[in-house]
Amino acid sequence: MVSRIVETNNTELFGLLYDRHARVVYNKCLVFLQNPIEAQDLTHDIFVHLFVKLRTFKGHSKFTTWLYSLTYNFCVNYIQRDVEKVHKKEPIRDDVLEAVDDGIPDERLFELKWDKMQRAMKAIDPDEKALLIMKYQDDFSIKDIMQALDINESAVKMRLKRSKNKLLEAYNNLG
Amino acid sequence: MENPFKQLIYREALPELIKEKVMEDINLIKLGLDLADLFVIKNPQIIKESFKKPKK
Repeated sequence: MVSRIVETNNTELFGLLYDRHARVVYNKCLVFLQNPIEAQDLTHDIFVHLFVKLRTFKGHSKFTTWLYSLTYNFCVNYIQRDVEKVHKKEPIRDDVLEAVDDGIPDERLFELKWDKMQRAMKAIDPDEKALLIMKYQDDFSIKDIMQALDINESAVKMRLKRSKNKLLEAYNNLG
Repeated sequence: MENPFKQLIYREALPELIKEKVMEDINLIKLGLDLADLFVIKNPQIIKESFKKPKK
């Protein structure tokens, strides 16, 4: 269906694609933005952007993996564009360690209580949240994350380690 | 052991109005793409002709 939309710019077909994926995209936006109106606006912007961007999908991953990556990047950029105006974040350095062992076993995260974890997720940065959702909710492989964020393997592992640490720290601070 | 990330999934419905807005906007984009295709790719001579100086 994607290749047919790209070839023909057929808006009816794009409408079918929308019907198939819009609700999931909207609910992913809600993870980042608790305000439904903002999440709806962002869903609209994502699908308008998708119509133009669709021709860049090369089929290296599943379409949903590609679409969710686009959604997370959109959400993170949306949230951070205002935050960065207020205080410039220290740039993330991925080159400090090569191929790190992330130290925290996944089982430790799976032991967390989900309602408390939901509150802890609100306390961490949106790019860290996106990374954890890609890995543990959408089951992205390391390669998928590398493509989604356009970074190398050791950078993905480094960021995952940092994100898991931040989540656990936020979780424990909730008492 | 249940993965708590899988329980963070929202299941809200998206208002139909959003689809209407998306379709309006992409129809406008498509019109732009079609016009560009018509004048720049398929019939570039139309643009050339319109910029030609009139013969005296």
